[in-house]
This record gives sequence, structure tokens and C-alpha cells, in this order.
Amino acid sequence: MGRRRGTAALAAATVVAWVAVCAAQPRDSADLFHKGVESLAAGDYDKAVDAFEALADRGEASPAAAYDRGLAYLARVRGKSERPGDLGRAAAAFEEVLLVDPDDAEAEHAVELVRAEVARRRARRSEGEVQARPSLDRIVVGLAPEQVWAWSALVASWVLTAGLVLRKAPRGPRYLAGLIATPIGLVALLVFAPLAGYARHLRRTVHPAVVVVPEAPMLDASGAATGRDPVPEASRVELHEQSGDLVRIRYGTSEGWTHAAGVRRLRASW
Amino acid sequence: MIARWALRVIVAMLVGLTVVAVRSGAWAQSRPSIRAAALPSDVEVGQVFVFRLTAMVSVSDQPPDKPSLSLPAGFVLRGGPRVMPQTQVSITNGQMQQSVGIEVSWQVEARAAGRHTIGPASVLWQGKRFESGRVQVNVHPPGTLPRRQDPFDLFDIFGLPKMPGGFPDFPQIEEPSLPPPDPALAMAAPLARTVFLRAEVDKTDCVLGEQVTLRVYEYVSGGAPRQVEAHEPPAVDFLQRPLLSPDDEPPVRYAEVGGEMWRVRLIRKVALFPLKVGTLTVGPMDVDYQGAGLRARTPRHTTALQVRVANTPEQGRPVGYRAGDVGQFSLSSEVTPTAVEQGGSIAVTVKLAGVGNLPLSLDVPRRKGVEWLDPTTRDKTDVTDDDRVRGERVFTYVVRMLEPGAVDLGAIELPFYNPWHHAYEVASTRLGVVHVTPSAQPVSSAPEALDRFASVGPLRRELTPAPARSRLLTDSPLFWVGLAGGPAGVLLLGAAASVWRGARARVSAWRDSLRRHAAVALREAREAAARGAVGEAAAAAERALHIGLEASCGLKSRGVLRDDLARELQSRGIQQQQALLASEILSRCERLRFEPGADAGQATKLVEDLGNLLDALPRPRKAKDVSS
Repeated sequence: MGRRRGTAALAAATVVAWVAVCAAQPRDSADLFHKGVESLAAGDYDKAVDAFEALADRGEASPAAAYDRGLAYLARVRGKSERPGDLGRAAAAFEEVLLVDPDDAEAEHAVELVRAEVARRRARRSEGEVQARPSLDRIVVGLAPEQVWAWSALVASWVLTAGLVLRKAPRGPRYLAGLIATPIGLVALLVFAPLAGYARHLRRTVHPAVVVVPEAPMLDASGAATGRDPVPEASRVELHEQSGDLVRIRYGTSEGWTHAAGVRRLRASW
Repeated sequence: MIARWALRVIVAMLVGLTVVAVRSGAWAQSRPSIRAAALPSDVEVGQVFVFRLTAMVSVSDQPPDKPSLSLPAGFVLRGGPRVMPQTQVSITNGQMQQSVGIEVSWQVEARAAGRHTIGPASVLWQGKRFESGRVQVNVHPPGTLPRRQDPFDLFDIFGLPKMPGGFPDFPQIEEPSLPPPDPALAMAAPLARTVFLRAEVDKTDCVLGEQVTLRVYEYVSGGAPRQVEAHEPPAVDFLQRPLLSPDDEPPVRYAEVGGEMWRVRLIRKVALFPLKVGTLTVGPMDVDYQGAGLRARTPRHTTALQVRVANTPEQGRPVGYRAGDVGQFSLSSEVTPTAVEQGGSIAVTVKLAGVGNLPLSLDVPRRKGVEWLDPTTRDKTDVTDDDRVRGERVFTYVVRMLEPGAVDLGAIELPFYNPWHHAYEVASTRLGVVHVTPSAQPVSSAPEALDRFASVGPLRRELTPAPARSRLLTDSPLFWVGLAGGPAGVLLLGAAASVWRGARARVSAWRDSLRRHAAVALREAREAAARGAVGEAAAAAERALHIGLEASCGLKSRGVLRDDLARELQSRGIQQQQALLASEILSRCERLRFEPGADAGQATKLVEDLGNLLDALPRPRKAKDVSS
């Protein structure tokens, strides 16, 4: 009897604790955020970075938190207390904002400034500019958002359907309209449907990341140097797979392995 | 008549002259001009002399090669043959004639006194061997040959006795000595005729940033080809520094190639500094030649070369080492002034000198209150005797001193890899201490313009939630169903309708087919026979037969005379037996129709025979429509 009572008490305590944790979670996130904001405003950049990083570790997807995290890293750079990789981490934070809200002009401007600073520093060290030319498939798919390709494919499907129906009409204006609409709809569908599918495939299989070390070397699968140009800090790359301490990345048309610690996967894409 | 004879004589003379000219020209081109001589022709026993052979041909021909000399007893070959390409230009009767060829020398030692004949020597030209004349050599006993007077011996110009203990005799110059061949340039066989190129690198394995020297040699044998177009060897994976200036004219050297002497000229010398690791390629250099010894514009090229480039060793790599800093460097510095007011500037001049690819930048020590501005650089480079790039690069920095006190500027260090010592080394220079006196006016630690992030947006103070993202269309299976469903539905419906219409048409056609009509008529005949209606059965049977015949062979048998029916049917492919049976059944039908005493048994027999006939008639490939 006593044993039963003890088990029931333990279960009740667990439920109460779980409810308390669930209730306290949002409040802790808000507290952490305000703590980070206050630290940043007070010039305590390290504490601000810690607070915003803790928020990111909790999976907080607020664009404000990500943006302020980028500002905290930039503040360390501006305050002459920069640590290696701060520019890359700032760029990663701003990129996360853009993943959540692609129309955030402030984040877009900030990430441009960070990359310009990285390029300037590389030029000062007489390191050549690394040109990342995206491959043709990425260029074509990137011409419009995935949703646009999807709607275009849907409209093309409707046009094709209408054309096929109108072709059954007796000869006349409707039949003529069907003759015109059928090939147009068919060609458009053959173009837009693969684009929509490929955009979906890339979204689901390729994960964006940002280089957070001064240079991410391009290695082979065994970790040996390949002789290819390293990827500069703050560059956005694609993450494909991980094997041990190495991750396979794609930068422009160049693919290779690099150290997992040298790149930061953007949270909004998880 | 006379005029005709005169014309014949003139034509004959012209033909004769032409033949003579052609034959003489052909003869002139059919063998090289060969001369042989012994220098000198009077020697003592044990003396070495030179046997020289010169073979020249027209400039448009390939020069002779493969010289050979047979020596009689009493002579020993001491050296040679040495083959020197020759070019001669002579002007005869105002016409310039150019010839090319070879001059061959053998060193021969006389062993037996007497009057000897040496030769003939020979050369190979156009697949045939041509011989020189024989040469007389007088070999005297040792010490009997009068000493040749040296025209430049001032002490012996009047035949005076030599001064005791004076200058020793200089060796007699019997023959203008050939330049010594360079064994480093020797090759077992030429890569091409008359002229070819050879490229080499001084090392095929090196580390990233180490100098590799590329040399391109031009080998020439006979003739005087000239370059008309040249393409430099591509080496995109290397930083290149030419070591020969356009004004440089390296001396012509000689080398033995396949047993012959070739002139060799260094035409390119380039220092290459690899920019990446891996197996890098130096492409071929292409040169087009024209001129004596070559029939037309002739391309020549070097072979591509490969250099394996490795990273410098990881073991012992110092902090701050930058890939490619390979060589042997030293640093020195000068700081002026060493005392300055707070906020003022000083000049720090750092001289980087050494051998190798000089680094483009230096890492300066960052200190609080010390602001280094971008430096200006001044370079001076030259080449060492062993073809290494050597030079110095002077960096001049303007440094702002922002905080007062004795500020130690620290040291500038340059870690580098020394390929000769196979070890890392660090060049270093201490900059010393600068005394900064306090300034009455406040000093800004950094100009505002240097804040490159001033335009970044403000801090966000509200933890706004992420905007709700609409579900993407492509994530919904309904999207893909809808995408394909519309056109596919229309196509499927269309196909179904088409199948339905086809089935209906086939059924309709079957209903309207002749065979069906024949079958219907036959059935009516059977029914009439069964009822005992003989006339009706005969009429139905006749109709069934006509329709059956038309269905089988297309013959409208109602319009055919009965006597002709069997023949017509046979002409349309019906067997004779069936044709005759058809004609007979028609006759029986007529009889039954008009015979009053005909009984039902005859009608039944008729219908049976008709049924058998219709079954036996060949079926057409396509039934004809009744209306047709």
C-alpha cells in the first residue's frame, strides 16, 4: 500500500515538474533575450554573445534573437576585442534571419558589410579573392522562390487541361484556342514542374551553413589537402553529409570535405 | 626550205641546251661538294694531326650526316669525329648562292714514318654514301721535322737562339680548336632535324612556394633557322618571374647530340613558384621556324613537364606560418622618430631581404594604443649566380601612437620554410620602444571612418516570433496529384470515349456486314424449310447464296448468267468444286421455287448444302458493306 502511494506521488511530482518546465520555458527565453540586449547595450559583448548563443541552443527561431546575436559578434569586432571567427558567426546569425524572413533588409545589409570586411582583410593579407561561381542548376532554380515555380507549374497544368478539353470542341474559336493552349501548357508544365521538384529536393537535402573560421580548407574524404582554394570566412556553403569530424560541403561549383567545427549550420533550416 | 632547216637547227640547239642545263643542274644537286685535308700534312711519328672533311649541299636540302673515316695501318684515331654545322654564302657572277653542310674533324696520331695516303672519308646524304678524295700525309721520324716558326714569337723573329731559362715553348696551334661540348646538354639522339627545342626544370619535386627554374634550349644543326612565331610555355599554377631579359644574349654552346655537334642556345629561363599543391603541369613552348635548312615554316615544341608540389611538413610548423613563404629571408627595421607626442605618428621601415619568393605582406604586432596604417612597399629583385630570385622588399608603415608612455612596439616576425635546410626558420626584427609624451588635447582612439559597421541597423529589443511560414505547395501530395491530374484526366477520358466509339462502330459494322446478312438469310431458309414452306426456303437460300458469294469474293452474282457463274467465281479465287456447287444450288433454288411438287426434304437438303458451302467459302480480309 505504501509502495503504491510512493509511486503515485512520484508520478504526480513528475507531471508537476514537467508542467512547470513547460510554463517556464517561454519566460526563460524572454529573460535570456532581454539579458543579452542589456549586456549588448552596456558594452558587455561577451555576456551578450553567451546569452544569444544560449537562446540559439534552445532552438529559439526569433529573427530578433538571431539579429542581435549577429550584432553582438560585430560589437566584439568593432570593440577591438574580436576573436577568430567572429565575423563568420555574425554572418551566420544574419543569414539565419534571412532564412526566416528573406525580406529583412537590415539583416541583408549587415551580412553584406561582414563579407565586405572579410574581403578587405583578405586583400590586405594579399590573399586573392575567392570567386564562388554557382553551378547552372543552382542559378536556374534560384531565379525564383520555390513557391513561384510551384504556382507556375500549377497554372501550366490548368492551361494544358483547358487546351486538351477545348481541342475536343468542333472546329471554331474554341477549337483554335485549344490548339494554341495545349502546346503552351505542355511546354510550361515540362519546364516548371521539374523546377519546382528540384527546388523542393534542394530544400530538403541541402542544408545552408556559413564558414566560421578564417579559412575552411577543402580536403578529401580522408582529411588530406586537395590543393583547392580554401573557403573564406563568412561564406555561405551547402552542407551535404557528415563523416566523423568532417563534413562534405559545396561552395559554388567546388565540392570537398572540411572540418565540421569550421562551418555553422543555419538553425532555421533544421 | 632554208628557213625550215634553220628553224629545226635552232629548236635542236634549244632542246640540247635545255637537256644539258637540266642534266648539269641535276648532277649539281645529285651529290654534295666534299673536300678533305690533313692539317698539317707533314707530321712526325707520334704527332697528332687533324683530318678535316667538309661536305656542303644546297640550302634547300638536308645537310649530310653520319661521317666516316677509314684509316690505313700506321695511324690511330685519337678523337672525333666532331661535327660542326656550316653555312656558306658565295657570290658568283652576281648571284648569291647559299649552302649548308657539315665540317667534320678527326684527331689522328701518326705511328709509322713514310708517305701515306689517308681516306677516303665519307658522309651519308639522301640515303647514299659519298666519298671524299684521298689525302697525302708525310710522316717523318721523330725530331727530324723542322720546327715551325711562330710568327708571334718575338724572341724568335730573327731566328735567334732561345734565352736559357726563358719562356717555354707554347704549344703549336695546329688547328683552330673546336669549342668544348657541354656534357650537360648532350643528348643520345636529336628530337628533330635541323632544329629542335628542349625544356627542363631543375627539380620535379618541391614544396609549395619553392622556386623551380625552367630552362628552354634551342638546338640547331646546320642552316640558320630563325624564329618567326613563339608561344610561351603556359604555367597557370605558378607565379612566374623571367630570369632572362629581352636584352640578354646567352652565349652559344655546343653539345654532342647523336654523335654530332649541335649549337645550343638558352632561349628561356623562368623562375616558377608553385601556387598550389599537387602535380602541376608546365605546358609546351611552341616556336615556328623558317630559313636555311628548312623547307617551309616548321613548328617545333617542347614537351610538357610535370612538377610534384607538396605542402611543407606539418611537424615543426611555427605559428603564423603562411603557406608559400619558402626561401631564406631576413628582416631589419628602422623606427623614426623614437619620441613623439600622443596622437602623433612615427615611420616604421621594415626591410625584408632574402632568396625566394618574397612575401607580399608582414604581420605587424597589434598593441593597445598603437595603430598601424597600411604600408607602402618598394621592391628590388635580381638573380643570383645559381639562378635564384633574390631581392628585398621594403615596407614603410605609418604608425599612430595613441597612448602616452614608453610603448614597446614589439617585434615583427616572419616564419618561413628553408628548403635548403629542410626546416622552418623565423626571421625577426625588434622595433624597440617609442616614448610617447602626453598630449593636452584628447586623442581619438580610432577615426570614425574606420568603423565599417556604422551603418548596421539598431539593436532589436523585442523578442518577436518568427513569421508564420505558409506551407509550401510542393510539400503537399495534392499539389503533385493536381499537377498531373488535370491533363491526365482529360487524356484518360478522351481515350475512354475513343474506345467506346470504336466498340460501337465495330458492333454496327458487324451488324451491317454481308456475312451477317447471309447468316440471317440462311437462318430464314432453315426456318422456312422446317415449316415446309419450300418456295420461301428456296428464295431465302438463293438470297443467302448471293450475299455469301459477294461477301466471300465481291462478285455480285445476281447480274451474272448462271452459265458464266462458275467461271466468274473461279476467276475470283473460288475453288472449282465450290463454284460448281454454287451454280448448282442456284439451279436447285429456282427449281424448288417454281416446282409445285417439291417437298420439304429437298428444301432441307438444299439449306444444308448451302450452309456447308457458305462455311467452306473463303473469308475475305475485310467484309464489304451491303450498301457498297
